[in-house]
Amino acid sequence: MEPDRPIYAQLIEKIQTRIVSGYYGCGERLPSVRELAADAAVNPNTMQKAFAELERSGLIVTQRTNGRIVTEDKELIDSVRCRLAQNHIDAFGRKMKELGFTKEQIFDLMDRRI
Amino acid sequence: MLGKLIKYEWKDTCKMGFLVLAVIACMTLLGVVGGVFPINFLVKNAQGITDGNELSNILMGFTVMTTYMVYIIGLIGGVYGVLIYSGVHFYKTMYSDQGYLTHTLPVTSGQLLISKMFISGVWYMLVLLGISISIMTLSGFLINVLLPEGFWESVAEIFRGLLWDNSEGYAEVRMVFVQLIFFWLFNLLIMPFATMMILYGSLTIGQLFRKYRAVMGILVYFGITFLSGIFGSVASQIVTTMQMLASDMAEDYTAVFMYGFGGYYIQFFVTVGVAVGLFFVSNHILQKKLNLE
Amino acid sequence: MSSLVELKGVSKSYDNKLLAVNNVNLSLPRGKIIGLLGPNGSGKTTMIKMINGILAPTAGEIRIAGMPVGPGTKARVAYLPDRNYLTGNKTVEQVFHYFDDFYENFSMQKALGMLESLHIQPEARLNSLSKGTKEKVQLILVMGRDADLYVLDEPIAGVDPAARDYILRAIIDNYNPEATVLISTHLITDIENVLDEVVFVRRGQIVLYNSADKIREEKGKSVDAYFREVFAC
Repeated sequence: MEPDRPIYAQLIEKIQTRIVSGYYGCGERLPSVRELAADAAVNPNTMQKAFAELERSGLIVTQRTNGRIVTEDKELIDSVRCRLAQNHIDAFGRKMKELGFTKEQIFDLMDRRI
Repeated sequence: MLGKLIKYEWKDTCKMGFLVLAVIACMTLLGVVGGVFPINFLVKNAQGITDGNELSNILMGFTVMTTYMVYIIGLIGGVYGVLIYSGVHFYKTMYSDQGYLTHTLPVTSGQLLISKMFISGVWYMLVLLGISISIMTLSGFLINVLLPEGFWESVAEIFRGLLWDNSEGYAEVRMVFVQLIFFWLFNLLIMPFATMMILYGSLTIGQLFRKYRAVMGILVYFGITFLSGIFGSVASQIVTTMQMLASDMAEDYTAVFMYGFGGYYIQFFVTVGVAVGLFFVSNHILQKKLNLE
Repeated sequence: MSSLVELKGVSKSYDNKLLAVNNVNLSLPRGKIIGLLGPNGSGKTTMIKMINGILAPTAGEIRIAGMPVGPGTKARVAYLPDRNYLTGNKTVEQVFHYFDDFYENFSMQKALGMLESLHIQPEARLNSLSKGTKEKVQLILVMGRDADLYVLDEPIAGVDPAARDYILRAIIDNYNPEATVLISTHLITDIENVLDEVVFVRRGQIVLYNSADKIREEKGKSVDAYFREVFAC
């Protein structure tokens, strides 16, 4: 948890990552706000805010009987996965450019490492 | 809430209280063994009933003297012990770190003061009662040993007269006797609580100072006790003199007894008045001026 | 009454000279974990003592759940002072019974549960406990109550890191939307992830009252970093 960025934004990212990676599968019920807050050692209100945002975006769905579950909408999950990937790539690109690498050098390195 | 406070005050202090009462009981036993039996022995020697030499007489005399010294010191220690323990316990629970617990309980400051005054007052009363009983017991034994036969019969006769005889002599003595009883009862039943409230009030006033609060509290206690004693004495002297001048009592010896009591009543009322005043002062300090370190 | 704690024009002066708290107006809502942050001598502890009714303000009024400070509020406020008030040879369990007797909202079951998870014996005598253990017991006495307001004065200052985690977790677990937790501390880094809102106090006055995440968003730094900026010597 980085202290210089809003916590709720970081929580959103963490949960999105867990959803797109399949840690929380489609239609799977999520743990309660309180549980997740305790695990992450953050304020339940903040966790609640993250959940609210995820609900708004449709990644999480609240059902009357089942509580909060991950959406079944595979397309949505994919688009979120892409967006997260783009964020990481952008950050990576910035860092590499800061180190002085050209685009070709970056591809070359990637080819060898991943 | 007051009941709960009283319950826990009792729980916290009863060990010490019973200890002091036990000490008084032991002192009484000691007094009888070391103070009465040897005298019995000496008396019988003097009467020629038993055979004792100079040495044993001196030894007996010495035993009696030391016993009574220890007895008196023990009893005085008991009284002061209760007073000092009560003061320390009060200070600890109210004005040390424990105060953070005491003053956040859902109770009023008045309830705190009253519950503590009540329980320590009860213990003080029990100790005074215990001492009275001890002295009466010891006296009873001594009288048996020292005074001639027929003493108890005469005492019984006097009591019978006091209760039933309505003639002139008995009537006046009865009045004196009744006042004595009243006075003794007031002392036993009310003074212990007043004493405790004066002690607690003084310690509370000590909290108004910035430093050395405990010491200041103790000084305030001595100061108030001293001043109220002087005030009581002066006031009672004035009242007694006024009463004597206002009456026709040239030769009436019983009248001196009766008017003499006026003084005691004055002192009593002064002390109770000071205690009540200190309750209100303490309550105010606790509500507005409390400042735990 | 929507706000739980209301300070109106509250001041505290000592000997007519020192203004420890200077005309403070503060309104704290329910259901939040709020940090009271400021350097030593800023007036935090004075404010806390006044909220808990062990110090009287020289001006202004304080209301908790609409009530003026008194036995009524003390029944609903759970206070963890930065002092050790547990002395004597009573056992821990006896202290719990004492609290159970005086505080209707004390849960014996919950308290004993916390005691067990911290591996403290209920039969242990208070004067045999270490300082750290006593602090844990004091924390349990506070968290064991179902209060409207929890006031924690430096709850993690003298405590080892594992116990710190336990305490923070207990605060989170204990969270209920009707109650508010007010934490006064100078160890901001350890605690800021748990705070909804923060109040900055300097020389007896409130200099800031904002949500923690908003500070991170607007200032681009942690609350701790922003605090250092504001209170730079």
